[in-house]
Amino acid sequence: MKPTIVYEVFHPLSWGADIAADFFLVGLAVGAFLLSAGIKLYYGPKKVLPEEYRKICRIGAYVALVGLALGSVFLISHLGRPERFFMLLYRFQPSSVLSWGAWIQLGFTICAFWYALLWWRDRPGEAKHRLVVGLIGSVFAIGLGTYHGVLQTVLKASALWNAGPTTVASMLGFVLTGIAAVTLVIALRRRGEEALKAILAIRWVFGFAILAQLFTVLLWIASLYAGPRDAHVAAELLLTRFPMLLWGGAIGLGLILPLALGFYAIAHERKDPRIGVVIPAVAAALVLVGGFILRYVIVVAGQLS
Amino acid sequence: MRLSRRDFLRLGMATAGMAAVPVNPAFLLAADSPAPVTGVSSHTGRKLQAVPSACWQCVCRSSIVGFVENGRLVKVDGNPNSQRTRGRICAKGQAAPNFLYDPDRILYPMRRVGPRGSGKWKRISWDEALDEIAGRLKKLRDEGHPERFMFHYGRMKASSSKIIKSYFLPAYGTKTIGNHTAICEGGKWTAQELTWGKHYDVNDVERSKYIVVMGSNPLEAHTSHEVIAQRIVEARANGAGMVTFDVRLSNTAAVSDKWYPVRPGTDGAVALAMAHVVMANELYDKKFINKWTNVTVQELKDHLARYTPEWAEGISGVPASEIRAVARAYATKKPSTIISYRGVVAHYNGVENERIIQMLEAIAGNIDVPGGRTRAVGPKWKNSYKKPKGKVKKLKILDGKEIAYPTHHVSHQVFKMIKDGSNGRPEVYMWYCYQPVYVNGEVQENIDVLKDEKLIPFTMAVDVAMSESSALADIILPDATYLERWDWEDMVSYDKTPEYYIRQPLVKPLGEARDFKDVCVDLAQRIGPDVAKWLPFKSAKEFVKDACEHTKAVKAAGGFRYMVKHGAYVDHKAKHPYRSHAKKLKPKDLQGTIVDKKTGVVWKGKPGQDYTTTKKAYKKYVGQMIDGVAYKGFKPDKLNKNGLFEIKSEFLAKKGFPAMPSWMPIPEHEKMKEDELILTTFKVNVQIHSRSSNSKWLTEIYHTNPAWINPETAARLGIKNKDRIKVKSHIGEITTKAYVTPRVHPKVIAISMHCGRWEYGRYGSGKKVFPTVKDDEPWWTDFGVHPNWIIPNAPDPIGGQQRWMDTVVSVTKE
Amino acid sequence: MAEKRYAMVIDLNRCIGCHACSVACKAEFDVPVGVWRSWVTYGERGTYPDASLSFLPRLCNHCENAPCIPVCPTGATYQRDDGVVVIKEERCIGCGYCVEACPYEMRYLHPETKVASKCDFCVHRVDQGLEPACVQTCLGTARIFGDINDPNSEISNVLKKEKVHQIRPDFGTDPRVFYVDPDPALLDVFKRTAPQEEVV
Repeated sequence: MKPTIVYEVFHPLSWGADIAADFFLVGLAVGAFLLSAGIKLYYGPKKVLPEEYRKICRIGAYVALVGLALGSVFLISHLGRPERFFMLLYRFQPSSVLSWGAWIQLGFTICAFWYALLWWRDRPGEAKHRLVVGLIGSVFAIGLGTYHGVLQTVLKASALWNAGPTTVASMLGFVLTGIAAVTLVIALRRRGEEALKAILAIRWVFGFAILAQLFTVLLWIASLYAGPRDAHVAAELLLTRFPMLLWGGAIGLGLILPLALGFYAIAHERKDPRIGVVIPAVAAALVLVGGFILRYVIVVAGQLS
Repeated sequence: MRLSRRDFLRLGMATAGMAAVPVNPAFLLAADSPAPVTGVSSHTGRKLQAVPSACWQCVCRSSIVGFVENGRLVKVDGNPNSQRTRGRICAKGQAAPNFLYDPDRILYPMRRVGPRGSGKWKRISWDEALDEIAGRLKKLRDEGHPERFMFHYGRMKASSSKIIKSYFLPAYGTKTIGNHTAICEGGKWTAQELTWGKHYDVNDVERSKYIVVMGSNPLEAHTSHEVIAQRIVEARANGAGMVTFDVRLSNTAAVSDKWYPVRPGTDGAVALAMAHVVMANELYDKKFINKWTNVTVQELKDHLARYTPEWAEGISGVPASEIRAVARAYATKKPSTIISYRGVVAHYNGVENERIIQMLEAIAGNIDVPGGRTRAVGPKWKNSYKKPKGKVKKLKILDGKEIAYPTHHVSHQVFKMIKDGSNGRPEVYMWYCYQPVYVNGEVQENIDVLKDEKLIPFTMAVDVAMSESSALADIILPDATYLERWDWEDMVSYDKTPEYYIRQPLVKPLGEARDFKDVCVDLAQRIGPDVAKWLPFKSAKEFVKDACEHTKAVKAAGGFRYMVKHGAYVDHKAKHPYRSHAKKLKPKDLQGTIVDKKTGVVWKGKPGQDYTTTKKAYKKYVGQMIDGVAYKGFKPDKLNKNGLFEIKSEFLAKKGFPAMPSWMPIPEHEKMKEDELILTTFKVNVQIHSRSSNSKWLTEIYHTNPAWINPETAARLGIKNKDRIKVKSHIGEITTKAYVTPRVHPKVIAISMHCGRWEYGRYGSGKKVFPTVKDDEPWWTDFGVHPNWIIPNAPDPIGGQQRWMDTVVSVTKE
Repeated sequence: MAEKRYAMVIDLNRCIGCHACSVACKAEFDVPVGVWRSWVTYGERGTYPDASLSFLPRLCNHCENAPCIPVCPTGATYQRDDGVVVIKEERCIGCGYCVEACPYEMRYLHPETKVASKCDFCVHRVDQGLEPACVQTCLGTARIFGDINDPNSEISNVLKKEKVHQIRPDFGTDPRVFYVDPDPALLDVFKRTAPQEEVV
């Protein structure tokens, strides 16, 4: 029979909403960058980008920079001693994922800045330049996205984090929120036809990303539940202590509802083109809210399990 | 000296010279080679200044060493030169810095400015405070009514007691001096005085092979907590058996071989049945009974015949077979002993229960033998000052009403007596290291009486914290904490060896706090020269120094200088023998004595005087004649008892109680209804009863006190864990939280007595006294509920002990 | 002779759950309320009247294979040559990653210094030849601290004689805090299940 614990101490959680925000924003930046650079890569150096894709690429570059900057603010302000932030760089520890992460994030920051600058200058003849920076940046972006998953996955201390799908789900989540953020910004900044064209250009990727994320998250929970004892307990904790946030917020609000809205938009956009802008925008906003909730639940529940 | 496995290992390690961490087995060293003590700052890595002193958190009063850095106390540890504590102290002792640096501590004299109890205060100077107090006291004295100054103390021991109770108060002329023993263990002492005379038993557990704990929790709270706890652990490690009878599975019960839940107040029935088994199976100590007690084996057998284990099972709920097994083990695994405390004595039948246990220990042959129930040995300090002479007067409000032998007063009845008024009322009521409102039952009545200016015109508190009681004072005098003052100390030894130790300031008193002993000297001078002349010492420090120079053993060790440096001195040469009652008196002891024909008492009476009827004849007791030989016997106290171990008590017979220790049912429990419960209070290991909730590290661990209730009982009452419940007695009702646990008897609801404060600062009650003083914010918001609101102040009819564990309550879900 | 390797054995036969260790530790390091370097877990079980209560003193395990060390991005956490896992406070940035990495809940971010903190076996005392504060005051003498590389030390003798247990050895951490006769269910700790919630 298991004992009832009648005296125990509980330390305050050291990672909270600020770290969730850092993960979320940096992840979003990674996703937006990959979207932007991915399109560029797809078209290669020679082909001329259609206008709607140019918009997506440009906005993706800006979103990446802004997300990264905001995320870094959350990260540094979370540190107990933010003034010692630079120690992260000059006291490199090869054994520490976080230490690698700091350098990767620095690399990505440089690329994202440069990349955004290139799009902002928008000088003719820099297409190849953009491609190269996008390529290098993508390597860093993938590294940074993976890093943010691995950072948690490597910790045996948390059975919730210490599972392979955590990294995959994280990475997918980053791409998804990146696309969502770009979609939302396009919808907010562009008018009518222009926006519609751009949104239409990525909505299949967007929809597919939602589906993939839904699948991975469910797989992740199921694998935890069916996993070894600690993982099983972690899954139970996730399901019993965070049912509203997990099912209602992260999955319902953040994945299923946007998906449903997407189908609704496809069915109705011919009647009213505005639907093709407003609905994806709402869906994107929901994906972002859900994405943050999922990040938060993983960060908090992981510390409890 | 007997060495435990651990000691052996340590010695081995030390002699091998390969100790990774030198361990100082101080208690193995001779007294004249005191152990060095060191402490290191965790912040700077520097060695800390070490100042030996003495704890005062609870009555155990261990010798300690304080570690000071830049004038600030950073840490307290046990003094390795103390044989009692072996250099170890408990959680409460470790929390000393909290007590000293409590952000809500009172550091200046304060006078109330609103109505009494309104919480409005003004800081005043010491001069203003003392002039007013001295003025009032002088007036009473000049009017011939010094007794109308009542002084009521909670904890006052050793030199504090001497200076205040033996010099200041008699010099002034009042004997209206209240204590708190009746709410603690007074009934235990009365029972001991009725049986073996002078009170204080020491269970010599370290040498016991079998330990029976009854209504006591020595591993969490005890008058010698860290002393006895260490020795119990050693005994257990050496294979001693231990069983615990308690209504609650305490930590003591938890580490026992077996926990026997008993119905509250029926430990006496179990002990009677154990005595029955011991007698019926010829397991008794015939020699002791015949020679040292006033009964015969046959008388005992006859008397105990009816108290069979089956009978006791019906009363206590403990299976007869288990009682038999425990009784047999107790009588055969020798030496053995019974540790009994408040669970046994805080009942209607408390004195009788303890008397039964005394009888049981006597017939089993455990009286003052190694590993048994032994006589306490403490140091005998001597001061050179003459005791005040002159008339002292007293208000007869200290002993309640119609108590047979209130040998330790009946403090919980004082407010009732004041309310009643027929024996007079104090005009000035002063309390010291005491929480009268909080620690007695019937809290509302305590508040009402103390607040009523018609009943008590002037109230004064000597306190370190804004307590519930101090809040009702007219003037509060900021006392020095035990970490800022001087004392010689004298708590009992568990090794039959007197341990002399002192308390000295570890830091200068904070703010304007002053040691009340020094204040007494000051007050005496302000009242007048005929009071001041009896306090020739200038300060407590001088008093302590005088004692160090006039106490032979201490003087020989090096006097004051030695004590200041090492803190404690164990007088190994004065090791007391066991069975001291069997010591034959020498001719020189018999000089100037007479033998009382009726009792056989050898005493220093005048020829023709009758021992039994002469007032305070017990003070002149020298010995006891047995079969024509004069022995030291069992020295009486408080009563003109003979020097035998009295199992049959004429004192009690005279007052209409059974002479032989007998079962006394508790009237309320006899007629309680099926669904009613008995309220029991208890202490935990990290709180002192009423003075530690301002210690953040302690209160962080224990700040709320949900009511323990058995799962079966809870189910019957529809109560689930954490439910809000109402607990109602005939005097009131409290609402608290349920803690459903298999660790409590189904007829009991148990609520600890530490929580539910409405004052005592931010950690105790959440209420800041001085909001501008910064310290850690408490993270807890539940401060618990005090059970004393619904417990009546009801005395045991024999000794007047407060019946903490008798209250019948009904419990319902809110 | 080999290097020193400090470790602790806690004999639950001698533990009375008195919390003297917890408070001594608080005092030794002036630890603010709400965080702990050391504490005693209580577990109750059974049905009336066969109920029981057991204790488990907790402190940093000073794991041979400490998961908190490799994760530190600045090298602030490291293992001394004598095996004690310590934090160089001035090098800690307070990221909290080590707090997350410890499977035993032993680390926290200090509310005042804002850097990671935990039990360090009282190295400031040990280096001066003293015992850790919790060992010094333990009423039951339940704690034995010493060098396990010294075959003659008390702790080595106890380790030879007694069967000892570690908390969750399956984490692969190889704790250097050993328990004699613990309640196995209390040793089988999961991470916290009730943050900032009153258990009773």
